Amino acid sequence: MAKAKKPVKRAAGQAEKVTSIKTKDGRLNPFEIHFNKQKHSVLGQHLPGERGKPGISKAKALKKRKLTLLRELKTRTKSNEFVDRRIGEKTKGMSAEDRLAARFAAERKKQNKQTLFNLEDNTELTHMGQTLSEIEKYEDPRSDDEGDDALGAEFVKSAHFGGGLLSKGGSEPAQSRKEWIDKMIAESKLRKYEARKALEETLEMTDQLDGGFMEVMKIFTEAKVIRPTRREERERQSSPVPASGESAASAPAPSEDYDQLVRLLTFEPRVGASDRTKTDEEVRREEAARLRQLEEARQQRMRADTEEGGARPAVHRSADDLDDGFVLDSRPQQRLELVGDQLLVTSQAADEPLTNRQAKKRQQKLQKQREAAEEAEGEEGEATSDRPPSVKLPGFKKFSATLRAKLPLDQSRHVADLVTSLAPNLSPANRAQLVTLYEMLLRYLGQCCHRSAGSGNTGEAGCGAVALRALDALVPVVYDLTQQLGDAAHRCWVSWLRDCHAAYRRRRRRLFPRLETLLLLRVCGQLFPSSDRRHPVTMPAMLLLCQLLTECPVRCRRELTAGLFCVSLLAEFTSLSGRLVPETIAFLQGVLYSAVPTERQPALAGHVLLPHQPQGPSAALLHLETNCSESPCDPALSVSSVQSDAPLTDSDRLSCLHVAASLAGQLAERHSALPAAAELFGPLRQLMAAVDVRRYPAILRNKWTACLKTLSAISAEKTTLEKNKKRPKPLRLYEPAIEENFDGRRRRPGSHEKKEHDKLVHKYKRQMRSTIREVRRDNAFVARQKLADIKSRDDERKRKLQALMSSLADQEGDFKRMKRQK
Amino acid sequence: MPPARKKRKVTKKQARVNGLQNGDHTNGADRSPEDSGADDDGADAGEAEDILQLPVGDDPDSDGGSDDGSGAEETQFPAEKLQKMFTFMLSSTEDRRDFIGQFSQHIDHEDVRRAGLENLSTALTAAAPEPSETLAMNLFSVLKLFRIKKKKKRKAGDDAGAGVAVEAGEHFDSLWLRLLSLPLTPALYRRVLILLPERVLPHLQNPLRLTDFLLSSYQIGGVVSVLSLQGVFYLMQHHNLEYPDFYSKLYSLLEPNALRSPQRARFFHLVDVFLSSGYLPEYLVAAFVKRLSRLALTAPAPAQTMLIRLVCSLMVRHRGLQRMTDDPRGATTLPADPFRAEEADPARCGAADSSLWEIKSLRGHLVPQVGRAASFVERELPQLEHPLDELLETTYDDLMEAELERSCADVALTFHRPEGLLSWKEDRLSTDWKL
Repeated sequence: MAKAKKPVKRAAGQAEKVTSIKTKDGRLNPFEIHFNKQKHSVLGQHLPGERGKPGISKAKALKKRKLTLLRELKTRTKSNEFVDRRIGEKTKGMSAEDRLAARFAAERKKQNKQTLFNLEDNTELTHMGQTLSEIEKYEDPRSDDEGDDALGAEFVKSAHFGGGLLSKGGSEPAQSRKEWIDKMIAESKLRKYEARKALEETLEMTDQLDGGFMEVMKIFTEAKVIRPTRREERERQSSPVPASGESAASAPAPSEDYDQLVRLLTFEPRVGASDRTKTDEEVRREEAARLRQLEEARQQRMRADTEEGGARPAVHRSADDLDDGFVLDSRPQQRLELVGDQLLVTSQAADEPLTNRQAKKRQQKLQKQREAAEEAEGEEGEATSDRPPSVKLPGFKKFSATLRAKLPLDQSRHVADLVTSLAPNLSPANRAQLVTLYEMLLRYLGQCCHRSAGSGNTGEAGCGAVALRALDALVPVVYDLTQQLGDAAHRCWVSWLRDCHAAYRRRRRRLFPRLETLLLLRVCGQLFPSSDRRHPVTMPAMLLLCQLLTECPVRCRRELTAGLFCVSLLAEFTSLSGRLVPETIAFLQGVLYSAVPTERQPALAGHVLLPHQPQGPSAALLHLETNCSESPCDPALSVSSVQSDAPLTDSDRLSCLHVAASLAGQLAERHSALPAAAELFGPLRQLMAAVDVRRYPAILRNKWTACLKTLSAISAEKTTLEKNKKRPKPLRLYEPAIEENFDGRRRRPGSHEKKEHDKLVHKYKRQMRSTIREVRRDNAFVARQKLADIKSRDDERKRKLQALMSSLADQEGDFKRMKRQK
Repeated sequence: MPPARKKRKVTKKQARVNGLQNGDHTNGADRSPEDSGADDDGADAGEAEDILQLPVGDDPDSDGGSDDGSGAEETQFPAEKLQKMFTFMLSSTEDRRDFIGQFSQHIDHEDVRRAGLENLSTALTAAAPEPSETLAMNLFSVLKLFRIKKKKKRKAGDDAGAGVAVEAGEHFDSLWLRLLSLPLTPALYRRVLILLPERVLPHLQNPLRLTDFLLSSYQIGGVVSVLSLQGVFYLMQHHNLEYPDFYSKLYSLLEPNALRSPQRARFFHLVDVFLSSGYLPEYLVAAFVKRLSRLALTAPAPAQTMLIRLVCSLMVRHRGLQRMTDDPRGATTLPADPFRAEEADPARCGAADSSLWEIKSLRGHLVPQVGRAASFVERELPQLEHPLDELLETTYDDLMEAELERSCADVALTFHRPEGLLSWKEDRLSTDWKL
């Protein structure tokens, strides 16, 4: 240990020495100062290294090396050295006697090292006659400090400061000073004695009271009146069996009752203030708000195509926008408005149209709210009633039989009751049952249509009408159920559509499907929004309708009315979104062509698109057989005529023409703003103009002229297309970088951490450079030293050799001289 | 007759039908009725065959033998027998397709193929049957069996293939010309026209001899015209046929009902091919663009996407046409569309001054795919054209399938409760329809 410490100590000593090297006197020789000349002197600037003291610093460095490096060099190959550690040997200015004394003291110290703090065993310290060890027990709480020996203020006043003799001299003059003092001492002793006695009495009484109290306490503890301490309670809990036995035997502890009561009070359910019943107006307002939100969401879905593709709506940007992505303030801006006489702060947020995502979110939120409300109802239901788990659904045959036996309105009531009894909150299995019921309902609706057709053919018009009325009455129920089922209903409809399409494709001949498909497609449009850009149910439904219109030829009354119904449905489906369906226009062209008189047909045959035939019997389908200008015309077609195979009569033709004209007018009105509207509706206009309306009744003639007017109002005027011009990219202009607190110093950019890091790197580089320089100088020093050593050794050798040679020469000289002398 | 033998025949016929279906896919649309017809009269055809088994001899039995024989000594090739068979096949009164189907298994043999065409032509001249539609049908069925090998193989030194091609060349020419001079049924006409540009014209020694036939068949109109145009196009491409009216004829063929014919895919594939050159004059392409977009206005939805994509491709090929979607003068109001649809000459229809209002109108089409395809008028033109192939054959069924397969997370519902079937909101259905 001692050896290992040695070099450290020595090094420390040397370092101190090195740092304390100073010039002998503080004054500098002005010739030793070297000035670094500045090229441009700046007033008030102080640069490091402006002036240097090369001589001094070199000498310093050399001295330092001599003290450190040289020493190391010399002891490099040596593993040991003698160190003089005699006390006071190296201390300067210490006389020999002092040295001796110090050494002796050290020797004594070494000998007494073990007993330095050891007091003698037999000496025992006492306090007031008691040993300290006794006192340390502190058994007696009574303190001796209680007898305060401080003199009373009265006594001090009378006796001190020489007042006693002088002031009271008059009353007892006989007493001498000695007597007076004696008397005073006696009084004092008496007082002390009395005080001690009183104290002892007090103590005695305290002891007595303590004894009595302990006896009383014993009674209490036996009766267990006192609340148990925590530890006791814990013990009792850890061993509950004997404790409970005990407590059962004895009376219930009063503390437990109390605790129970307190707990009861804390956890007592508190009744909150219930919501008050909403007024009618509030209900109406909420409903209106809900509808508005839903409408917004619907419009959002309708416009979804801008997101899918197409040019995005241009976001307004200022002409001064630098394209740097900097937005001034994305929050809704508040602006000041002058309303009446006062300025008001208004926010613009409410007027902004919703983005798509917002609309989706809103829709989801509404749905969640609805679900939450349902769940809450469900919980209530569970809480209040314990009904049997579920009502058993009848099979489809039984279901349809029971329904068929009822009147239309009763049917809907029956189904509504069934739905209520199958509410999903009554039993979780009810949801699946509801889905089954939904499927059965769809089937039943189809059956209704089918039945109406069957009776229509056989001539029982009444029965068919009842079936259709039943369908009519069931639609609201189906709507409610759809709202309840949501996704499951969608799956039912998709599979239904798939079946319809498959059934259509299976036939070799392309024929319009029967009423059960067409009317259910109508219901589908009532349940699901057809205005959506791409709805999973209505989109395929509309595609199916388009396919029917494109592929099915029109040869008889059934096909004609079915086609017109399809066109009506498509027109209805696209009424909100205003989307273009060219198939409807093509179909109407074919239909109207068949109303054009035969002699005018060849000129217009180019407008007839397949599968309509420009020649043959189907091209004259709507030619009136008689002059009907006086006969009545029913403007509405009957849905059931879609089914009937009866031949076309003139009244049917009039109705069909009316419907066709109305549809043509409707479509023309809707699409008149399209850039190619003139081309789109040109053929329709020509066909309608070619029709001879003189034989038509007044209603139809009016409709016809109105429709023609709409069609010819479409202007052929065009505006050439132009794409949205791209904004020219502005030159990048930079803001002047204005510093808030300019202090003339250029600061490096970057974060605080980066700056710190850079600083450290810089420091490290500097240090490295200086270290390398130092090492180089060390090497030079060592080399110089070695050379000097070698030189000195050489000199020594030469000197010795010379001495030897000279002595030899002397000897030789002497020898020769002696020889000569002989 | 032994029952086992009959059974075998049936299987052979089936094999023929299968082979036809696998091998010949070019005439997909009009093959099916004929095939079904062949199946119907299969029974009595089989009877006839049995009776006429003699001239062929025990041909099916000597299958293996003939293989060996032909391998050993060529001189013993039964040329006369083959000639007899051909004479039987080329009946001008009876349909011999079943028999030809059976014969088709021998065509795999090298020697039969080599001697076949020569014998066929001699049989035809020797027998000199009455020219009739049935004869044409039979001759076509036989000729279809002879596939001429490509010239490449001849270079590679395949002696057998070279032999067939060189020797048979003259007979091939004369036989086909003979076939074309016969009266053809419309269905056969179409099949011939389909076969011509791909399997016949490249192998004829002088294909230009068919020019008259092709040009006259163009006059028939409809699909036949389109198919004949393909032949003419081949001649123009490879044999320097001068035919300046080609594009104006193609232009006149583009009419709305072309989109609704069963040959739609083939037709528009050809239109795409004909217009694929980047060296066509811009006024001509503009006329086609305008014509196609007029077509798109009334087309059924699946064809619309295809048409719009085709228009877009044409614009990509001829970037100068961008002025039809982006007027350099800025939006200018014109009294009417400068394009005259009735004008038959594409050079004079004024399409180059027009704009694509039709495509712009289709932007709001019901079907999202169409709307999206039409959005090209509002955007920068793409750098590459869209491949047209998968769109050519799209039908409503495909669209339906795609829509029905789409899954949707949460389905939107309506929020107005209907009172009944026809009374709902501000619905207009009740004005035209009653229960």
